Amino acid sequence: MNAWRLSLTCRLVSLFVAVVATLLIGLGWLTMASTDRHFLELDEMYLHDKGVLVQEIGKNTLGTDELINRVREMLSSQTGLNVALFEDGQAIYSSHGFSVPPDIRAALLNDQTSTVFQWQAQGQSLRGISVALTAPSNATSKSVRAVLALDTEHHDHFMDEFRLLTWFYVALAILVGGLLAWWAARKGLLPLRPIIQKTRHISANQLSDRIPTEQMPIELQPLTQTLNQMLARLELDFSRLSAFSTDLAHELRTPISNMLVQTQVTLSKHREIEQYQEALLSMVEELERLSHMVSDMLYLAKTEHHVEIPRPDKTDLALQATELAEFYQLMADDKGVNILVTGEGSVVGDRNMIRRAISNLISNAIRHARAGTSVDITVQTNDRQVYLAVTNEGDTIDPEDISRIFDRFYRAEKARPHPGADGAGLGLAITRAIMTAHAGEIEVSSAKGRTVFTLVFLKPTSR
Amino acid sequence: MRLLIVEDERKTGDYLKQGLTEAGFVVDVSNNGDEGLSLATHQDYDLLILDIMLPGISGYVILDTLRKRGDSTPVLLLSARDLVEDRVRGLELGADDYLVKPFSFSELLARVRTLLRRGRSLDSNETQVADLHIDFLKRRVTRAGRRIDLTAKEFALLELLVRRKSEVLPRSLIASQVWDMNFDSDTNVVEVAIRRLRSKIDDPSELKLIRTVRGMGYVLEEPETP
Repeated sequence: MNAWRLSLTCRLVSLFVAVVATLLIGLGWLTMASTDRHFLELDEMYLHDKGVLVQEIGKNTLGTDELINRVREMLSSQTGLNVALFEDGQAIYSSHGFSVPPDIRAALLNDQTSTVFQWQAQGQSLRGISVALTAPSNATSKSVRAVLALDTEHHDHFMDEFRLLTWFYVALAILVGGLLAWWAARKGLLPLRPIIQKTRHISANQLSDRIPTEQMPIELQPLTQTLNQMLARLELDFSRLSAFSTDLAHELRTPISNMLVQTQVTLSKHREIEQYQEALLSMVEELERLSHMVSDMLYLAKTEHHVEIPRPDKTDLALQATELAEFYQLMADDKGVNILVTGEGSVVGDRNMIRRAISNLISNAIRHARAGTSVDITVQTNDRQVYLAVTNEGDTIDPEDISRIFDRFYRAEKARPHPGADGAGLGLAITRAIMTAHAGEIEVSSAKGRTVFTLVFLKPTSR
Repeated sequence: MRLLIVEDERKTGDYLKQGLTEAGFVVDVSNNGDEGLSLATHQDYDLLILDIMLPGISGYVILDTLRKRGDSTPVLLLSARDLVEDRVRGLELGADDYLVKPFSFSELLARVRTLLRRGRSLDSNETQVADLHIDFLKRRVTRAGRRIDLTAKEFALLELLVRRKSEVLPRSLIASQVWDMNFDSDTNVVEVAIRRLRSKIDDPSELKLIRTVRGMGYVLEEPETP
């Protein structure tokens, strides 16, 4: 978890250092292993060489004493070489200060393949072999073997120094590599600076600013473009929000002012009890409208901001439309309007939200229908989508109004004929928000006195 | 029936007390959470109305404390916030109902009565209000012995009014119960429906049973001495 929170520079540097360290340590280890093996081979060759020499001496001598003398003579010109001679396992000679530990001795004397043995004795690190000598002629039945050993101290000394030097170099290289990597990472990440600087200065008042994309490296262009798109969306949302607050204040001001004036006028002189009741009732109406508006606005906000998430149920559109039609028919009867539901189709979506969306359309259609006509609700299904269209006959909506009809608080009639008869002007905005939440759409067309609102749902995928 | 209202907004508390007292309940009001909890613990109430945001401890805490003590007095939560999580939290803690401000008084009264009736509802199969007789099973309605034909929805509406006789039912509640309109809709429709029902039930008779309480809703009751 913590590693992910490191800065980009840190991450780049650590990655680079890790790579460099792995490579250098590998190389160092390889070099040392090879050197070590090379020394071993050299020692082996040397020991075998000298083994042959001792065997030669053995062939050309006539007695044990002569053999010892000749060997001693040979040793005087060989530094670092130790020789011990054994006759039937008994030491008959060993060079100065040289003795073979008993366990090694046994293994050495039984060895017939000139294997190189390695052991430690008296603080020395030794490598040795044993060779069989042709027995001197005066002692025919005895077997004589020579053990030759080489002190490897000078190798070890060299290896220690070499190892130290190598690791020192590796450490230095990693350090320098890290510094270089840090510098390179800083240099490489430089193009991020303008983004940081620009974003730092963007505030609610400067949402129109954009991050320049021209000089950006190709890798960063998607990032800056995405950031710019985000800014564009924020700007749009922000301007909507500002407009919304303004609308809201305006919408609230009128009813509040009505109530205030009415209450004060009522209180300004003594009145009959019926007049007080009348005033209170009118206040209740006004307050109910306000309360209705507030809850509609909250509902709209919640739907638009995905707080209210649709619960996916299989919902029969025709059935819902029929039930709603039954409800609204009561109101339609008063206008002599008839509601007809035809077709069939089901969608997956939140039943209550969908009912609310359809309900808003039917209520609007009845309100704007010409007396004696019918409001038609048709449900249709094609390969990909399910449609629910609500058609009414009445006035044609102006094209200018059409484009704004889904905005909140937008009413086609500039002056409301009678306040309270219409909703708060949020119905279509809510319907659209519900459709958006369902990944659907709402369409409207109005021509020659026929207005059609169509809800377009995605067809549920058959399982 | 004794109710406790815990509500810090003094005006709301006082009006609720007045309204509920006039509706025939005995009402105590507390303005803060700690006092509310203490009252709820030491006194015996039939129903608690708790505001969620309170000085001292919140309505949630009061509810939670009571439920953990095994107290199952019905609780109606009031809140100015209408978020699904709030609602869910309240109900999970054991609230019986949840009402979002602003609410109408008639709505609150209807819900209070529903909660108090819960658990001991004796839904009879037939009932008589003055000379109106209803058989719920056969779906037969007669007035002064004369058969009245109602549509399915008209019957549902009448049944609601009769089963909750003498209670003022707000239009929103009627729309929700009879037509399943669980959101603010054109309540004019309810007005039309009531008008139609009246034309069948009340118009032929001298005795009017369905009464409009202006600004509140509708009630079906035997009128007091005419």
